[in-house]
This record gives sequence, C-alpha cells and structure tokens, in this order.
Amino acid sequence: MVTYTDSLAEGKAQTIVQLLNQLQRQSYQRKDLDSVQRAYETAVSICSCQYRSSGRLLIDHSIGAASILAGLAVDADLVTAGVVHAVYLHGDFGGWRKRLDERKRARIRKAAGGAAEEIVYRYSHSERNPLALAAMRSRGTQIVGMERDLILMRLADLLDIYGEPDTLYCHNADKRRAVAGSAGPEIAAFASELGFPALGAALDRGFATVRNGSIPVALRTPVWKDGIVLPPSYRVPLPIAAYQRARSRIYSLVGR
Amino acid sequence: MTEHARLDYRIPTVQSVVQLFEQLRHGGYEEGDVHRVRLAYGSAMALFAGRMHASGKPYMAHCVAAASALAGCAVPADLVIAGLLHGAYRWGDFGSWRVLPPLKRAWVRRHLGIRVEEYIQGFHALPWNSEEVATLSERLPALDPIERAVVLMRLASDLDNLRERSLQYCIDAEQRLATARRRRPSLIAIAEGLGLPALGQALAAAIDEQTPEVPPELRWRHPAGALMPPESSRRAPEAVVGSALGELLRRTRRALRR
Repeated sequence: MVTYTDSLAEGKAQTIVQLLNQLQRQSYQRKDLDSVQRAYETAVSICSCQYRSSGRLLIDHSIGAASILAGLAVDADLVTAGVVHAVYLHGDFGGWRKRLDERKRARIRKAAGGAAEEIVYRYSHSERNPLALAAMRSRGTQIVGMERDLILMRLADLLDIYGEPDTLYCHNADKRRAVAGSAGPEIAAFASELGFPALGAALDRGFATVRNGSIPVALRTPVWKDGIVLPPSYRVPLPIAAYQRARSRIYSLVGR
Repeated sequence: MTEHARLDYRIPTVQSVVQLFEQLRHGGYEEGDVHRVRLAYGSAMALFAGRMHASGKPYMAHCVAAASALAGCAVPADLVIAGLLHGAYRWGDFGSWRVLPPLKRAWVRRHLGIRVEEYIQGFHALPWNSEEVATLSERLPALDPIERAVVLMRLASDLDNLRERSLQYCIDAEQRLATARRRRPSLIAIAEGLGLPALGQALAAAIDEQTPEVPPELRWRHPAGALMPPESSRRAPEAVVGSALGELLRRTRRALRR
C-alpha cells in the first residue's frame, strides 16, 4: 500500500539517495525501488554532464520531478517515468543521430520497463508549452488515463523548476516570470481540478514566488545556458560535433 | 494522515546549487561573496563534469552539500568556496596537459585565489584514516587557523557522506558503516574541539540513523569517483598522452626519492 507523504516542492528529493529513501518511507514496493534505481543508472549515463541554465544538473531535475510524482502517491511506473522523462528530449545516446529510433526505445524499455517507456515516449511528443497546458483546463473532467498521466508529469516538471525557485536563476528568468504571471494561476487551478489540490497549492506558491521574486543580476552572471559541460579532457568526435553544429544552425534558421 | 517529509537540519547539507545560493543569500552572506561562490561553481561544473559520488548521486551534489554545511557553520566565503571544490585534486579534470600537481595548484590559485587553494591543498594532504582521526582532537589546539579550517572541511564532507543513509547505497557499504561507527566518538570530539558541538551532534545523528536498512540490490554499482562522460564523447588523444606522461614523471620522482 502506498501512503501519502507531503514532499512537494520544498521537501522533494534532489538526489537518487533521497528519492529512494522517500519511496521506502512511502511504502512503495521493493521491485519499484529496483526499477527506479535501474532507470536512474541509465538516465545518468544518457543525460550525463547536462546542466540547466540555473546551474542544476538535468538529472537532479528528473529526480525532483519523480519525487513530486511519488509525493502524489501515483503508480510506480509514473514515478519511474519521471526519472527518465528527459532522456528523449535532451539525452545523448551516443552516435550522431538525434532522431528517436527503436534502438533507443528498446534501451529505455529495458532500463525502466515497458509501461514507463511508453509514458516517456508519449511525453516527448506531447504538448509541453505552459500556455497550452493552461488552455487544457476547460477539458478537466474529460482527461483520463494516459493523457492524465502525461499532464501530471508536466505539472511535476513545472513544479520542480518553479517551486525551487530554479527559474529565477535561469538565463531566461524574465520569460519564466511572464509565464508564471500569465499561465500560473490557471495551471495551479488545473492541477487542483484534476484531483491533486496539494499539487495545485504548491504550484500556486511556486508561481507566486517567481512572479514576485527577483535575484540580483550578479547572481545570474556569468550567464549559463542549458546544455552539456564536457570534462575538459574529453571531446565529441569531430564528425558528430560538426553534424550537431550544422543541425543546430539549420534548426535556428527555420525557427525550430 | 500526512507526514511532512522535509528534513530540517540545524547544519544543512543542501544538494542543489540553487538551494545553496538561497541559503547563502538568506544566511547573511554578502552579494559579492555569493557571486564568488557562483563563479567557483562554474569552475566546479567543468572540473567535476560526469563525476559520480560513491552513493550514486552526482559528485557535484556532494560538493554543494559540503559547502552548505560549512555555510551552516557561518564560515567565511573562502572556506565555503573551498568546500565546494574540496575534491579538486583527487577528482578534478584539469584538462589533457595539466596533470602535475604544481600546474593544477597554479590553476586553482589563478581562478579561486590563494587562500582557497591553501584550503583545498590542505584538505588533499590531510591524512584521514582511523588512526589519525582518533588522535586529532588532542592535536587541535596546536593547529593553526588554516589547518583547523581544513579539519572543518573534512567534517563537512563527512557529514554529507553519512547523512540520509548514503553509506548504505555505496558498493562497499558494510566497510563504510563499520568505519563510521568506529570513528563516531572521535568525530564528535573533533567537532567540539573546533567549537561546533551542533556539528558533532549532526555527525552522530547521521551515523546512528541507519534504519530501515537499505537492501544491497539498491546500491550504486560503481566505485567512488566513477566517471560517466557524455556517451558521444571520447577521451581526447592528448589526454591519454598527457596522463601517461604524468604517471611516468610521478614514478620517476618516486624512484629518485628512494
């Protein structure tokens, strides 16, 4: 039986140790903990050396999102999916192709289980724009099953970065503040109407902190961007690096 | 029934850099000092990129936690920064050619300052085996301020290593736990000798709180300091050469000393 624990936002796990401790406290089954640990091992490898522009490691953000989901007493598959939710969007699977293919999916299925992988696959293809998420509120009671799980994951993702307050330290803090102002209250209300009032309340607090808070400019300089910080004695092989640069250039030219 | 899962510690060991910045901002540190910590963190991001702690969390989380514990003891910013980079000489990647200690030390002095480098070097050089730990509290009065600061850095690092049953997630959990329990009275005595009884209590509590036990299957399967670089990256050829040259020079120096 899974028991409810208030671990949202302020009390969420930041590391795998904290997450596994939380899951044990909340009486998740042993096999679920095994699954989370194996999924984490894969996620760490695929998202290695990746930082958010606030300075937080991407894997820390994944753990935070998973912890928030666990705090909502969701199924273990959704918690595991939280741990790996960023792999298809930001992961480095080796090689030069960024495209998601069956080989990559098979690897995540093996690490996290088929159900969790399906959630992550659909999440990576779902609408994640906060403004679009707020607009979905009108469909509240019609949202069930997998769609509900995907929205929950997105809400947990948002709470991790707005509740930290991670976003205030990001290079695009002003943009994030605007989102907190325009879509925040709708998103928080949406979470409550989905049946998660504690999540809604935590989101409300997080968005309010970002709306009303500010960080001295000195604490946002030098500016960091989302991305990889390579170990200084490592290199991306030239063909891969060249392909990635060209791809990035083309995408920015066509506005992707 | 809900139970609040947030763990409030008198001596915090936050795990994320954003939490560290918030702790410093609201903990009486000046903006200039917090900015310096941010700059130092930028250096740490590269030095410790891909490096993992023995418990399975990123090594950066441990660095942040050590800095947080030191800040919780209200130390000067230089010592907080040194806590953030305390493992630089053991685990830091200084690049392909900067493999010898004098080159690494020069880099740290240039980027972080002379005092910070003194602390980090002191940490690296301080013996921390059970025999030394057992007698350190008696030798504390004879230590100079830098040496005392280095001992405090060690305790801060240990606090994070011990907290939240982290030991039990390590591949060599039994050995680590036995060592921790053996050192418990000595660590408390050292903390009290430094005038920080709260730190001693925190260390004792961290060692004592080991239930429920962590099943061995949940342990991190890699040794301390394992490196997990991005999967599309490779060690630079010049790094392999530099590393081999560095090892050759180290062995030559050792042989000449004999």
